[in-house]
Amino acid sequence: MDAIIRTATRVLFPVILLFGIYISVNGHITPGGGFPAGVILGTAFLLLAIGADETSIDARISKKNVMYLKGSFAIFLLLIVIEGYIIRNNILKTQDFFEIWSGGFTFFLNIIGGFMVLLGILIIVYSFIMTMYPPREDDWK
Amino acid sequence: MKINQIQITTLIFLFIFVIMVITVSGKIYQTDFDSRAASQYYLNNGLEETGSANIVNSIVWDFRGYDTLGEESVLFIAATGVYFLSLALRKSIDRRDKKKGEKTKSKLLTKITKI
Repeated sequence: MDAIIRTATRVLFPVILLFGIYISVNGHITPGGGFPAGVILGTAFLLLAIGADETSIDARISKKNVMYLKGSFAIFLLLIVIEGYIIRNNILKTQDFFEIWSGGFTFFLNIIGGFMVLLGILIIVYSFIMTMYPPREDDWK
Repeated sequence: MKINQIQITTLIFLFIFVIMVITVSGKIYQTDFDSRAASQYYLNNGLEETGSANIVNSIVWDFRGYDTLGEESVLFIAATGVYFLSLALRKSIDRRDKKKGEKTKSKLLTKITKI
């Protein structure tokens, strides 16, 4: 890819990553939440994939790891939704309104849901990269 | 005239659809119940019950948590579908290139990423 795009994505990537994490962690106080945070983090990785070389893409994203991560996060989200109805009131007693440590249960769900959206977007981005570059024989095993 | 199985099922589905339309249109023009009771409840008790100042976030992740769980699983299924579709596309590209005897990129995707 072009040198301008490559350099710009290298500069922009940590900034977008930090912004996405901020939106995710602060989602219960300011506008935002899990879904926008996941989309912002996914945009960072999409920029990285566009700006990278052909040879270095396979080293950065491993497709099997992404699939396993997504499945484990789905199970984790299911567990936390079920568990929330049991321990939610106990968490809420220890918290103050309008602080970072507030929101009870939406605080954890913002972070985990954001990561789930990010991993969904990563799978789609990796699929597009996979069709772009010519396949090797050992990929099919 | 002979009626086959497809016509019978179509008639049954049409019957169910007409009944659903009649029921729903009856509900829309009812005015004796407060249609904004749920949203008023969220506005009044959202901060005390969930603790989050962002009322949209408290509705999405707390009051309607199972709805959001379903949305996440829809996203997961869509991503998996794209993944396996791209596997099939890559296999067909591979087969075409083997016929030609050379390995080339997919032209459409290189055009998209060059912008």
